Amino acid sequence: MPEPTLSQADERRAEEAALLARIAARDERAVEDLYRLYSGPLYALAYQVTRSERFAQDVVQEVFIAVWRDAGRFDSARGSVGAWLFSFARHKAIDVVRREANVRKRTADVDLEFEEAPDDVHDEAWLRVRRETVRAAIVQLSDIQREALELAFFGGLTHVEVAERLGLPLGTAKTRIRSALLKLRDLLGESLADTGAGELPAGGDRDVTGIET
Amino acid sequence: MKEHAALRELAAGAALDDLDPLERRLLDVHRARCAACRVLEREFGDVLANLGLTAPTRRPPVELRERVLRAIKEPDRGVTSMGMAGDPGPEVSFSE
Repeated sequence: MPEPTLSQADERRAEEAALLARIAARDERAVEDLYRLYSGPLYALAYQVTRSERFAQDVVQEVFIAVWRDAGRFDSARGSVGAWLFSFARHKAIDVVRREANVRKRTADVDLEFEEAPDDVHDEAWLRVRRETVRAAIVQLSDIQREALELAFFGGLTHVEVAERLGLPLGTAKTRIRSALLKLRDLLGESLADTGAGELPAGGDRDVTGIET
Repeated sequence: MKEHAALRELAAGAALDDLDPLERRLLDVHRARCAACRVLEREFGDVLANLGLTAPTRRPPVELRERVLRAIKEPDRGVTSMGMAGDPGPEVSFSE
């Protein structure tokens, strides 16, 4: 009887779970591998939320400290490595924003820029493809859905603050954001299964170590 | 089914941490017996990671790698400005 073929997503999940198992076994090379794969995107997310080079670096460091500490407790049945890393990074970034004195300023002035950054052309191909896939899905959300979702995800605001920023009652804002996320999930549906959404390739020699700034 | 649609919305809310206590209770009761919603929650994790990937490219400084690799070996030292105890370690930040 022929073996069922694993989807790309399943393979990546297995590879990344193996990477975490190596980290749990105190394999420092595995941490270096994980850093090479994820530091760039995690840093970019942390910067988008915190608007601070310093805090973005702190967030990335916190993520990897947590990985080193908790790798043995990672349960792949509950979610992917990528999902965990991005969630942790985002929560840490939000913690930083809340701790900062300019929360009031952020509520008023949160300005999410999503134009193509000048150095996007230097990104690895797989990252470009993944990002294009997601952006292609995002533009299919209505403008107000997209605005609400991006504000909720990147804005570093509580959902109460997001509702204020949108000028909506809390319940309306929550419904709009949740509907946007549901729709995005449906739009990404196929590609989630085929490309291992949120998971980056565990192998290869992709170098995301930083350049300047 | 309309009720399940509402619960899927709660699952989305959980992914974004916006559930009030009642919503949290409703979802917890439901997800215990609904495999589809548990799968949905896992998928939301990946959807959000994908959304995170759309942040504009911004590369960390080269020095961050060494700092991180050092930090994991000495968890009580060289840590961040984010309220953790210990020697702050070399300054690699930029003035804000």
